[in-house]
Amino acid sequence: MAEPVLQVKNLRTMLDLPGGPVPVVDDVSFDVGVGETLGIVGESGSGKSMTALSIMQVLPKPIGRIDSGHILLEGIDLVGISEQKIRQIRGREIGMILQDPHTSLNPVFNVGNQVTEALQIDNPGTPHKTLLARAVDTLKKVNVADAERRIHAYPHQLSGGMKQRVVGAIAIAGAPKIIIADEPTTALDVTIQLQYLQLLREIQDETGTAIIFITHDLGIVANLCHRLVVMYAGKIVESGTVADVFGAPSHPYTEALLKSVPSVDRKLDRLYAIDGQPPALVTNRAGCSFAPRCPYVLDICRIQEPLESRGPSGGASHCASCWNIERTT
Amino acid sequence: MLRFVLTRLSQMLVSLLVITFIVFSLSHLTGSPIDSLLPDDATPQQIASLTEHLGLDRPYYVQYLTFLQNAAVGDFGDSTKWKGSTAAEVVLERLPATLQLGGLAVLISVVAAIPMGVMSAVRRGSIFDRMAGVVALLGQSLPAFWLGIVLMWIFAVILGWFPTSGYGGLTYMILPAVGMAWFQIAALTRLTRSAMLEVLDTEYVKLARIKGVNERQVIWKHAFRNAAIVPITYFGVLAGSLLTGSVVMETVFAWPGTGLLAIDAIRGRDFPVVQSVVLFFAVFYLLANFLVDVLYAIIDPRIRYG
Amino acid sequence: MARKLKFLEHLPFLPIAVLMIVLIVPAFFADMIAPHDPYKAYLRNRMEPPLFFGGTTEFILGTDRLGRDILSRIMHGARYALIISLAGIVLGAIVGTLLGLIAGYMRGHIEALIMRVVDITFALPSILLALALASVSGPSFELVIFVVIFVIWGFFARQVRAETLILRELDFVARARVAGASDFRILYRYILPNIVNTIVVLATLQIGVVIVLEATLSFLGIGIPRPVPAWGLLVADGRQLIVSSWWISFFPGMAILLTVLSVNMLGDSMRDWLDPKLRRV
Repeated sequence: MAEPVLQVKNLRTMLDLPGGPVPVVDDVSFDVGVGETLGIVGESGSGKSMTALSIMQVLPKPIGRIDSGHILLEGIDLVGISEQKIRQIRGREIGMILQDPHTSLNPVFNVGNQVTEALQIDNPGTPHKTLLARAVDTLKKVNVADAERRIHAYPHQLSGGMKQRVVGAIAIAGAPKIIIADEPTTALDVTIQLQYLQLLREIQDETGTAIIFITHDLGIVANLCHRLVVMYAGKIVESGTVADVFGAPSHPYTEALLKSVPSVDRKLDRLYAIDGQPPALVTNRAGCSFAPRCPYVLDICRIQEPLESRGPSGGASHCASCWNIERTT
Repeated sequence: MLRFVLTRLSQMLVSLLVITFIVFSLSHLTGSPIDSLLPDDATPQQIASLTEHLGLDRPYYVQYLTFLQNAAVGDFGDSTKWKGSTAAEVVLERLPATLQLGGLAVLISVVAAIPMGVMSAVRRGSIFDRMAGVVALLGQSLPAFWLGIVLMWIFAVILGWFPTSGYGGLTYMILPAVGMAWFQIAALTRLTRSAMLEVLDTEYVKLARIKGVNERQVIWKHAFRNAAIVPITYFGVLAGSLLTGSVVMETVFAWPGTGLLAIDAIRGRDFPVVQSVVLFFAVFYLLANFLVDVLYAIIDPRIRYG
Repeated sequence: MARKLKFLEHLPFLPIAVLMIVLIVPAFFADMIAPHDPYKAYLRNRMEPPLFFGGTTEFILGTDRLGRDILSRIMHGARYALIISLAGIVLGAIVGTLLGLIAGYMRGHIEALIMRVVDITFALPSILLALALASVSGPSFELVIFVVIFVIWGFFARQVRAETLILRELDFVARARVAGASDFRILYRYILPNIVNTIVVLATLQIGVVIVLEATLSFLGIGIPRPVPAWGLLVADGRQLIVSSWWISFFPGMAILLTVLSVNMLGDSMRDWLDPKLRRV
């Protein structure tokens, strides 16, 4: 694997809820290489968005905080650095695309204003006219047709897909080394989704930026990502290359997720659904979080947390945290 | 935008018609104005000639139209208390004093309440936030006229920092303006706070932070510009309570503005002056609300183009 | 029952105690507990300061310009504060509830007309109406009550209409209609009982507003006529004498402040208890 741009090491993020602090990201570690696309997969509440917000350090105030761990951007630890410094990282080194384009643009500023603002942070003191011209260029890069006119439009005058392109333009405006896309296509129509994914791929080909793609849709991961990590209840339960994980899912949760993807080749009578609910946020729990829903549960699963072990695919980076990894399915 | 302005303008005119009709009707409610204009021993000829002169023998709606016509050019007749002036002249003469005081009160409210509301929201749950909450509760419960007197007692009588009452420069204006502003500060702080809390929680504020915008700009540009819509709608209400405030505080501090004029005119049974003050207040109030609507549209593009 | 007990637990004792002492007890028993006749002028004890400020136990809160006992006047004034605010609110609630029920139940042009009138009354500052009325009729009890009704009926009409709109579509109303119940019976038996809580809470929340409104009008001389010792008038009595005798204005104003503060706090807990959905209003 290429030299990693971003390394997350043993990250632990807490939410201080009324009932006490709760770990929403729990001992999470992963690397992202230059030009690589990493998928983070999980149900809602699995901690995947919180991981992204931790990297950007825009956790919900005042209840969210990074408890421990390291986030290394090209070797420099972002945890614990000053607000001033992290602000220079945001937008310039790491860009981010949020889930819902309908709410992520500020309704009272026009498109040009919101894009130039992102450009300006990188180049303070640039005349407004130059910035505006560059905003048009940036919008063209994300395939916004008629960009010269669109910079005067307000968000409510644009379609969802168009808004998400603008958000994309804002993300790439600072020419970041890494873009975090948090379910960027969930709120879009299916046809628009595909266009948007294609766009992300083009951007990556052109700029060589790394992408962290957060989703619950394994189909997208298979198409877009090189590697993936699967999160459940704040922890990474399995990680590896797309080929390894899809070829030989080792964690029962991954296996269940794969089974629940509708597919044309696999003729299923009905869609597979995982029994039970994802666990509620709690402070302490013994054993594996997936145990209550796991079809292969062993006694030890309920007592002790599983350790990470090499997956059966034999892939170098394929790991899973499960006691019953040798099971026969 | 033009259509929006025209609609609001026509709504304003309807309200104004309703108010003029009420004012007009009130003047005929308690019998003929002749009684108050002529001495008790007036001859029938005198009564008849005055009745004809005032047009009181004509049908009600004709009288109303005449009233409207006169009101449109600011003619409400002569003041009965301030002899030798028309009612409109009396009101206009007092107007600058009220505008000075009201302007200062608005300035104080905005300068105090907006930062307080924003900071309360940004530092939600802090000691500062809780203190602002107490100020808000007190603001709702303090009767303004009593607050004025207590301010006068503490800062003018005991401490001697300001003159007790009367007309003059800034030192004379501070206490009544603070008295007028107090309630607005409470209400405006609360509104700003809740609006900011809502906006600070949105995705676009999150995205602004993600872009790398500094925190001051996140708060004042991205969040406040959106949150400001709520306090601005309140300015319409503010105009109404400023009217009440000016009547109360001008009475307390003997500030010779239109509010005090209204009270004096009522005591002196000077109906033309009361009429013109009431109509003037009404026009001011409606105009303020109209401007607020337009401002609202300028700030929020969704309304402008909607 | 459980809910009732819970309310008792959270019962705000301090506001209730203050209200009893400042408003309720004096309003009913001023004749018995007031140390002096509120109208009697002790001309030799004019502008006597309160106890601890050079005064005596004879006039605990001091006397006014004519030597009338301020404590006794405040106690008797409580009656007017209570009567006027209750009368105004009850009448305003009745008018507003009736029109709100009609608007919400009848719909159509009637609803549009009523709600338009609500909008217009909200758009008119009450001080304008009070000034205009007072200039014609002079200060009077009727005027104050009329202004109070004018100010508050719209709140009731708006809320009651909104709830009636929802209730009239519910099954039990439809069943009653199928069973042949008259419109009046439906409104009275089925809809009204379901909005009583809301009305009570709204009324409580309005008491503070109404007491301040009444006191303000009286203070300006366009409310309750003299010589009644209404609180607003008592404050006005001391306005010219603030340099020499601060207590004349101070204590009656304190009575208003304590009453309104307590009522507002009480209103908040009533709302949380009876009608949580109003919390965001």
